[in-house]
Amino acid sequence: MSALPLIFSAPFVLLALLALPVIWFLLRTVPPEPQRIAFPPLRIFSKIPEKQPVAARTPWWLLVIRMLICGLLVLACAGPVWKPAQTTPGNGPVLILIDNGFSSAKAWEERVSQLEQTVREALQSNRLLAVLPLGNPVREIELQNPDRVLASLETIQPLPYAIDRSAQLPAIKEFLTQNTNATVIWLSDNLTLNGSDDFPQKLAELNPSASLILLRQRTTETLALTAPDTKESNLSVRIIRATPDAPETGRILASDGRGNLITDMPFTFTKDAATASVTFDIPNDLRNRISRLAIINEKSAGAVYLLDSSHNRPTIGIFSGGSAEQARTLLSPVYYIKNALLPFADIRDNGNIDELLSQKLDALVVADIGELDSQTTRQLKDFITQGGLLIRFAGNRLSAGNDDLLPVKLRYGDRNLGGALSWSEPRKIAAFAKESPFSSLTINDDIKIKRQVLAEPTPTLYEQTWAALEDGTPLVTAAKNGKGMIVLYHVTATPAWSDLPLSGLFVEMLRKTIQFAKTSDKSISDNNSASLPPRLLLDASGNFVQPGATAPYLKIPNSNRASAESPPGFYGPEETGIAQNTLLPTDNLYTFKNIPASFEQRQIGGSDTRDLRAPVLLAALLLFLIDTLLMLRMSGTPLRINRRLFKNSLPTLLAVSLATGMWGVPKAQTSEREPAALETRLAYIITNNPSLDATSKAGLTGLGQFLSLNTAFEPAPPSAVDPEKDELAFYPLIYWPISSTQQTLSNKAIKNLNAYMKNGGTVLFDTRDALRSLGTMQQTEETSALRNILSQFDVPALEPVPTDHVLTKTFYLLKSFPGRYDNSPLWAEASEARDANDDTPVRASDGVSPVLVTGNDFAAAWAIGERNETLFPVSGSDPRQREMAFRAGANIVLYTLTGNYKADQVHVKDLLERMEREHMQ
Amino acid sequence: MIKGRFINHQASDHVVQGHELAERLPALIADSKRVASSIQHGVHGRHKNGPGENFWQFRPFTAGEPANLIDWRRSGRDHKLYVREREWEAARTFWFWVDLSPSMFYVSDLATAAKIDRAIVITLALAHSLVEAGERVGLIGLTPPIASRQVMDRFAENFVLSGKEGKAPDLLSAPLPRRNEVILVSDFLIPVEEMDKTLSRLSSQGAKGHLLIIRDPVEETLPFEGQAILFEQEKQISLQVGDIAVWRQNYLEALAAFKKALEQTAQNYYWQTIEHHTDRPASEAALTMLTRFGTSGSLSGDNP
Repeated sequence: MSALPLIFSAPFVLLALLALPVIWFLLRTVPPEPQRIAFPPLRIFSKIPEKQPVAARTPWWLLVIRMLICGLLVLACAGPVWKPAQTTPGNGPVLILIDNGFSSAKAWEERVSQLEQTVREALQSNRLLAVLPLGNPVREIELQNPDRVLASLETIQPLPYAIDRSAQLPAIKEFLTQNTNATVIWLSDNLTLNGSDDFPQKLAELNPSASLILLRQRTTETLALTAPDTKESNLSVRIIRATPDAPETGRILASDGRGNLITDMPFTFTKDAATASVTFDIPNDLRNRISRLAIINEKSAGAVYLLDSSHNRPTIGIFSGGSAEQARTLLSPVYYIKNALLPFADIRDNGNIDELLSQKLDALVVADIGELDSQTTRQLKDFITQGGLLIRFAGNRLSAGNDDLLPVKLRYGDRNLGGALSWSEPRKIAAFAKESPFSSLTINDDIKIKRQVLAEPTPTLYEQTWAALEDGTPLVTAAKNGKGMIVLYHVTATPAWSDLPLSGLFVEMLRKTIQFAKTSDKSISDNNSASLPPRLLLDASGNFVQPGATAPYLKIPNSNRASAESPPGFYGPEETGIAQNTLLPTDNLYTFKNIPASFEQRQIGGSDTRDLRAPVLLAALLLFLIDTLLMLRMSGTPLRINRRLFKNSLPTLLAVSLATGMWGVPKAQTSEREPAALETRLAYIITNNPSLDATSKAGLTGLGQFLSLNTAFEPAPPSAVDPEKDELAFYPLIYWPISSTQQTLSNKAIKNLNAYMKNGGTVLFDTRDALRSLGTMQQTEETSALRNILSQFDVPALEPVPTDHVLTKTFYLLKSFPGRYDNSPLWAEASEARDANDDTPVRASDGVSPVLVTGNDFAAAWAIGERNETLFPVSGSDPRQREMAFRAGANIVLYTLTGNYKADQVHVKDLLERMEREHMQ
Repeated sequence: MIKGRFINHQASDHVVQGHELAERLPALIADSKRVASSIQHGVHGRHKNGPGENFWQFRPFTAGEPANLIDWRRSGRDHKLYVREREWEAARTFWFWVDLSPSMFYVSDLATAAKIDRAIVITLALAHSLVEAGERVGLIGLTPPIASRQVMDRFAENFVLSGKEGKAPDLLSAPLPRRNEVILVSDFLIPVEEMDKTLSRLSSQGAKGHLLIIRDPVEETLPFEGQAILFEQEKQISLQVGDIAVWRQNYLEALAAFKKALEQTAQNYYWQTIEHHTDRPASEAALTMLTRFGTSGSLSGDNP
């Protein structure tokens, strides 16, 4: 290559530079043509002096600029590259080794482009090629044509686990003996999990004559995540790095099984430290939901740690003696135990003891079981000897007779403290002994033990006692049995015998107890040769992928690192499955040390390599701009920026951009009506009859005023709504005056109103024809219009409001619902018929009638003018009719707002009576 | 980009130019009639008694006057005798001269018509209006004064004839009767000294008159930018200008000075100048001219 570190990817284009002299000639001989302007006054004004010289020819500097532009364009097309990647030495076949473990995933693209570059180079020099991803299964290495390799580059992918490079050495050795003049290129991530990995040395020893090139990144920035430690109550993880080049700080994301983010924690490496640790100090139930930890921006399977259920919760079965107890929750021991354990364990509490034991439990809680049948006893014994934890609670049955699955021998019967026939007082719990697992717990003084089962005093009793009462009688005893343990609480798990189950101490004691439950490897002991199907696997970038058809099953037990046979991911069913992680808790990252001198070390990508096309093009563009400006200047166009124009156009521009900005924002409410959602308000349907609409508005205003004065509901000014266009959901009540000219509704309006009524809204139809319909059997036009409308709706059966309807009681006690007229009943949804002997003062009915119908012209009675004067006379003889109309309105509005709340309240008397009766008993 | 051009293809060939003018004349006549109708203001009286057709005043009969002067209808109203006097309506003679030099054939994008078209339209409209008003009009060197209603056609014929000759008749050679009014229509793109000579000669014949200066808006503003070659066909002058924007300042100053000198020269001989730009409607200039005739007419009546 030339001395200058500059090459062209398309050097033939440079031939175009030969055309430059031609361009020079053309530019020189054809100066820019001035415009010709016919101008008659010239004949007397030809003597006016001319200040500027006329360019007869293109000035030399302009020529230079233009030639430069042309030259730069040609150069850019030729694709100049500064400091191109170094070429492969030698002329024999090329063997490319690629690290494709998890640690190479982060900079994989770079690696692949480097690989591609090398392959293309081999293609140009017609060298045969072999590409060997070091993590792939060992196989004979075959030389291929570079173009075939190029076509199959896509198939080389990083693997989500650590690779064993040394496994490939025999194959490489064989290759090198066959091709002695080969060049070996090792595209390395320079990371290993083994501090004494001597792969480079061995590689160098294989064939000292082969030329070796080690290509690697400039810095090793990979971080990895290992070893969540759940022994403590808090989850802590270790972050490892190979060199201090890796980022000093970062964050760890914790997410649950569905990918929901739970929390994130920052971590910081102290200077030059290879590990850092982070503790997730979060509530237990949140912690237990975490199933995936990942370092942000670290795209590698090694930066992800998966947590399976063995990391957090033991699985605990609860079995209780009496099935009848299940019915009354608060009396069931299962309830107390379950709630105490729920934050720390997965609970199985359905099924009989056989079914429970088949579910791979870590611990079994048995509440108040006296004697078990012999088969169950045998099963339980097996469970315990295999490491299971049995927790038993005393109870009436246990005191009546027991089996031998107890830590201590019990006396028959129980001890009653502080009962009617006892002299003694209920006892408190004595301070925990130092050896007790409960020693760190503090005891509340108010916990009293009223009954307990007593242990036969034996020499070992004291050692077996975890907790005792003040008088030394044991409260919790435990005994090892095989690999497992039996723990007995000498009280019930219900508050019947003691206050213990009601206290926080109970929860803590149980938690301490279940620490003795076997954790993890639970499935291992059951069947040693089991294998679990993959559920979710990690790819090399640390993302979850669905396992392919050929994904291997995980053999258990398995305490190895992830490998080709056990790629990282979740295996087995979601609840009891286990997680295979890329790294072991004890793993550390190392870089290769002592790389033999026979390696020529290079950097991947050769970050010095610069594609010069962009700068060259930019320079050409700049020159072009300068040229344009000069041309403008030469042709006399003034270059000054027209300030006034700028000043004038700036506001316009701003306005235009603002306007376009506004255009993009959808308007919340297209109509000019006030936004309804901000305050509660009544509404009326626009009938397009101006006087009717005005009356509706005045009426609802008047009613609103009445409501504000007399009730807690202060409605905003009423809205006019068009059922076709407006959103109705904001209004509790929509008043709809029907006129004879009522138009038919569009489908959209019907749909809207139907949805409104179905979702709890109420429409008050007012035919306003009570006076006219008086004494005639004939239907008024309004009534027929109303029927016409209602026929299109999903309307329930209606009935005139009965005297015991909740509408008559929601605020005022009313007998009728007068408006401007008082002779029309108010119709509401028919409620169910009542029992004849039901003497409650109101019918209980659920929900609010979606439709109310009247003919009394409510709005006219409510209508008030600007000076609060009433606008319409009322018809009846009752001087209080208007007041009653307002009261009717108030009842209706409160009915729509509160529903059957008043109907519930009327039962208060009965409820009180019933409670009294029970109290008496 | 604003462009200026000459409306004929071969502006140097005056004959062709005349022919083309002839072709356009019917349209111009129609145009003139429209202009004329818009500026019609009737016969303008002399505001004194004299031979005429319009009533001027009744005055008491003085003894010795011919009895047939007595207006018997008026005299019958009371017991005095009245004489009906009519307004003096003396016909004046207006001589027109329209420049047909090539520069008159210039039109730019900013203008609505070529200068020559505008000159002819105004001339014909004025002639028509003046004839309607009872005056006599003539073309210097081409027609004797006529008062015929067909004055437009007659003038047009003469324009065609002189157009075919390629130039307007020589102003200096044509004899003019005394005390006539002369209207010179041109762009007056000639040196002021020449103009002075012409006006001196005309004035020495006793003519009073008006200079109707017709200009293209481009000639007034020079709205060009950048490098250009300005050229003029009549004298085959061309000028290369590096930057018209810079040159414009000089030009506008020179133009202002030239206009001032021209006006001063006219003033020296009591001539009036009216400037008309071809982007303005023709009726504007025609109306101004007519008003000027009225005032100057009365002046000329007073001051011999």
